[in-house]
Amino acid sequence: MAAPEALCWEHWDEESVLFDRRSSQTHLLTAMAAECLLLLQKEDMNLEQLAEKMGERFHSTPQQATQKQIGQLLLTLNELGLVITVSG
Amino acid sequence: MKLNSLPCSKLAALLAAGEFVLRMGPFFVQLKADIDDLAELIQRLYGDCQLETPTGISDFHLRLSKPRSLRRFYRPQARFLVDGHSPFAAFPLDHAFPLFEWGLNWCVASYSHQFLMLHSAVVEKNGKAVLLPAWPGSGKSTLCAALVYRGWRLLSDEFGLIRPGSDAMIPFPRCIPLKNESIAILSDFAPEAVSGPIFPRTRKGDVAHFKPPTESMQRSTEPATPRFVIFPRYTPGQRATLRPLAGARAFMKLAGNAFNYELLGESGFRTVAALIHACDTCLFHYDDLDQAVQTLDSLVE
Repeated sequence: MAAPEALCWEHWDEESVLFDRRSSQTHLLTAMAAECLLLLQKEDMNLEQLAEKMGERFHSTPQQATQKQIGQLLLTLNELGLVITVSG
Repeated sequence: MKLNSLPCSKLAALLAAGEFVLRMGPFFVQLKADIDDLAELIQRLYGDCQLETPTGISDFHLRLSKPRSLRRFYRPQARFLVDGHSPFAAFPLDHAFPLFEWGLNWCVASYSHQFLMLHSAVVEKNGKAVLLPAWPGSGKSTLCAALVYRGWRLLSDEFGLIRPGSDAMIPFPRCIPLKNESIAILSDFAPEAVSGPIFPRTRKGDVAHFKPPTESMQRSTEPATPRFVIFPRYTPGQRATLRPLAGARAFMKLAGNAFNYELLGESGFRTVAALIHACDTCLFHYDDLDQAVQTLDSLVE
């Protein structure tokens, strides 16, 4: 996970904008992507743990936080250099 | 001293001697030129602009010159130079004024990184500035011209200037260049509008420059507080309609069409964020200029 001090956040309703100081890139994040990053900032988790937390957060919304969705989201965040996936 | 307080022959002499310095919003622009009729057109369109005493310290040292090639005998040209360098190809000599305008835009966009430069018109009424960011072809300049000829203050047709960390838009009022069909549309909409000649077949089509209103020039050092960011889009057949745009989406659109957002890094991010938080953000589709002006008037009343 990118160190918290590397990221600047701005939030509007359900969406957020994130500036990554390391790459100087700006990212538009859905509520789900933002929550995912914020949870991982607090503690490292595996996919199952993350999906469970996200399920609690988004259970009653149209965004069904399934494990498959979370997995895809993590892949995207990994490509952007915002999270690091560690195997094992 | 205002440009229109001097005889044209005096302006031509100052231009030829390189002692012609204009205060244009936050910039001092020094120009040297020995091109016939240029002084007259500059005076017509920038008559309300402040002429400064040359001190040698200007933001931009510009020159319009006639290249001394054989071509000058059968197809004379004008070349734009900044600090002695020519950043782009020469124009036909009778297009010297649009060359000056585009060249100055190029200088501001290339060098003025003390500002976050948004590609946006900025107008103000009742103390509320409205940003109209848009890509070419969206009708931004036509809408901007319509607003300023109906009582809005022109801050800029092209550059939304804001100092990083500040919450005020800096005026940079200039002529509004309109293209092709927009020239006749605006002339019909505001017959009192003063404009220069139509320059045919420029790289952007036919272009005419409309003079900024006197009041906008008189208030060209007075910043304005942004209250709305409105993304205009000329849409034939569409009634003037404002639709709210979510803040994060507006952020990305505004940052995406800035001249130097990426170059400014975090300070650009913070400045755009503060601007979006301070403003209502909307998409605006319109067809009829009267309706469009009425709709935006109602926002700031």
